[in-house]
This record gives sequence, C-alpha cells and structure tokens, in this order.
Amino acid sequence: MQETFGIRFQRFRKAKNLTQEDIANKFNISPQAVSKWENDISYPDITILSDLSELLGVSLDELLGKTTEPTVIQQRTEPKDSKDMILRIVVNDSDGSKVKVNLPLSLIKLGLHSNFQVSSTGNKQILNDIDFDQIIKMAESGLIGKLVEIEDEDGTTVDIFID
Amino acid sequence: MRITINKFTFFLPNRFIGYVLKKAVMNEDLFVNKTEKEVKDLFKLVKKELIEFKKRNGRIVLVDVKDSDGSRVKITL
Repeated sequence: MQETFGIRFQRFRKAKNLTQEDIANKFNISPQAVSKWENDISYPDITILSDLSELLGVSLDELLGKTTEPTVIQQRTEPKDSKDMILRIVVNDSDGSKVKVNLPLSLIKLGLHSNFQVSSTGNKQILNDIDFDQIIKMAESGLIGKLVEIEDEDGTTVDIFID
Repeated sequence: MRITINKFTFFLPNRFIGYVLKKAVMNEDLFVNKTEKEVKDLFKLVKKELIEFKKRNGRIVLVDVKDSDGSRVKITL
C-alpha cells in the first residue's frame, strides 16, 4: 500500500523529534491543522512546502513521496526520555467492551510514588495483579513495545505497551 | 481538551482536566485511605504533568472506552 502524505509527514516529523506544536508554532498555524495533515484530512499550503521540507530535513520530492530512493532516517541511538514515554493499557472485555488508556509514564510513577492504593473496581481485578513498578523499570531500561499480555479465564485480555 | 460522548464532542479548556479526571476517578472510589487534601494535591500534580507532556509531545488520547452496547467515551487532551 502506498504511504499517504500524512503518514509520510508524521514519520519525518518524528524522526526529527518535533511535535505537532513545534511545526504549528513555526508556521503560525494551529496544532489541529498539523493533525489534519497527518490524518490526510487536509494538506499544507503550497507556499510553505519548501520551508516545511527544510524543517524536516528532507527534499521536497521526498516529502511529496516522489522519490524512488529509500529514505534513510537516522535511528534514535539514545533511549527515549522516560518523561516522554506513554504507557498504553488496552483491555478487551469478554462482554465486547474495549477500554484504552494512554498515560504518560511520569504520571504512573507519580501515582506509585504517592502510594495511592488502587482498589479493585468491578471486573478490572485483573489490573490489580500487574506490577507497574516492574513495568516502569523495564521501560526505563530501554524496553518498549508490548510488555504485558494477559488473558483471564473468562476471555478478558489486557495488553500493556510502552511507546 | 475534548470529551467525546457517542457522537457529541465537547471542548473544554485544559485547566479543567484535573476536575474531569478527579470526577471520573473518584466516582469509582479508585483511591482509598487518602484524605481529600491528599487527593486534591495529587490531581494538581497530575494536571501539571499532563499539560507539560502535551506541550512536549502534542495531543494525547487519554481514555477511549467503547462499550459493548455501542456507546463511546473518549477524552483527548
């Protein structure tokens, strides 16, 4: 499948460690406008394309997907700062409901350090048995991706990712 | 901050994030054995952390719940 402009733009932006707000501030537009580009709802004005490609460190052809050469993106060598990591919890309940929670890792640490006890709530007992301290340690040591995958006897699944 | 309930989206200033999260969480008695002040202080910190995270990383979908009956609640900062 051909890569859309939005996906390509987002890939270049992330490779340069820029946020949507960074781009928006640079061009005096709203972050929502940048989000629309990345979702292929709208496209940047032609008058800023040149500056945009310069900011992203790619050629105009690459930005527009007109190159046949593979784009070399420098991989991040140093581990991502844990302040910018997200802990994603995806719960697929056996009754068909689905819950996704995305929280900055720093918030999870804050909750754990504050020693707030999480009580069991409804059928989310499965979450209480997860050692979030251990997950944070794994994330800080550089592990990312899916770190936990649990399936309850009733079919409820819990996946935990670090991005 | 935007809160989507089924097909309706409500836009709220980010300063309400602490209030929204506190209400959402406290309704389920998620925290036990803590005073009102301790909980209030924690949510002040939570608000600060979230807003700083958003400044660094852009928009974040905090919660997305799809119920089996088709209803949906989504909170985006």
